[in-house]
Amino acid sequence: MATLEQFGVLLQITDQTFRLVRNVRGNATAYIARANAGADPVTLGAEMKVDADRFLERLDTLTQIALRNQTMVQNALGIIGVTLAQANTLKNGLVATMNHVKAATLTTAQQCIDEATFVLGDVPNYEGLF
Amino acid sequence: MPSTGGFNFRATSGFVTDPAGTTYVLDTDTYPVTRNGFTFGWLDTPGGGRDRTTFSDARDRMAGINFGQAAQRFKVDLPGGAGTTDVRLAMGDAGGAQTQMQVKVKDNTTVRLTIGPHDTATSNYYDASDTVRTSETDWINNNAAATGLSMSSGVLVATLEGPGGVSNTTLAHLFVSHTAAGAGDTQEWIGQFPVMRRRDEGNVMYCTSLLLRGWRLASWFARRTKARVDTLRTWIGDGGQGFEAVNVCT
Repeated sequence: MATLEQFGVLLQITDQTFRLVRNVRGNATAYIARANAGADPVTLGAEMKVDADRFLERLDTLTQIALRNQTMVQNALGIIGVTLAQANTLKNGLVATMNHVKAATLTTAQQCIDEATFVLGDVPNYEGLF
Repeated sequence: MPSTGGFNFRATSGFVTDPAGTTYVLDTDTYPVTRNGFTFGWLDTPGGGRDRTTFSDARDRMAGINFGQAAQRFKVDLPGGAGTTDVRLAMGDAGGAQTQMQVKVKDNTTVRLTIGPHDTATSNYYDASDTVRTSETDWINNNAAATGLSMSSGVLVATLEGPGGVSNTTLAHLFVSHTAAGAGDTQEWIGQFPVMRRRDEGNVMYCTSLLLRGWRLASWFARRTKARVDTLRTWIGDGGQGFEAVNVCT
């Protein structure tokens, strides 16, 4: 039977993951809106790349915390039947997406829109209550 | 190059269009949120947020507020980690007078800057030099930065204090310009020019020029000896590692 501590850790993991994923998707949607509204594409593209860097930092922080508390995280994820390998697959996917943004040429509005659309297609769209 | 970003506090993201280089912060933006090149957010839920006035220009930085009186912490992860940060802020409210407001800017938990406690009239704002600006336009044109704040933790935290817990502190805008002290951030004394005897308005002065490498050393020197430093300018810029010439007279 899961302990209260394990539930607490699970809540923290899911909260962080949900919010990061929704943050990524929210930004992508906003990039498209700004590109369509006539924002300077060079500035917007640069911002997209810097934001991608920040997301990579967040993912790295989460990874470091998980590695330092691997057993606790493993047990917590086990409550919902998720393995560390599956969680790692999600993380690697997000890292790949962010690196894709960093590597993209983003100097025109269409390029920014295309890249943001790629992000929306690549990052899971978790449904939420709020 | 420093990482720069402005944070415009309000209640609704679409209330105004954020000026270039800035983004909105809602009272519901719990840390961590990534936007506009920064990861930031509230560590403690503030008292609330309000939309006040639209200006459709640079003053939209002060279109709204977030407020609190229980030392609610707004956290900004500084890109690149530890380094030195310049801060600008607008403590005040376009929607009404406020009393006994205080904002503290911290290097994670160590206080680096305290503004207030102050009362303000409607559309008056205290800036990062603890000086009141009497309108949004006055703030835009004349606000002064607090420069060279050491952020060794790589985390900036701004807290909304309410001395005595009797009134809210309203924060409209925060701007940070952070230069990380990277591995290649060399700080060294390059050299010194000969001392020259000079007469200035009848006074004899002895002047020299110092050549430094690294903005932190030059900034530190300028702050410590500001009464005697004539100029501080980047001589050769190379990605934040420029040589700087400092003319010193005594």
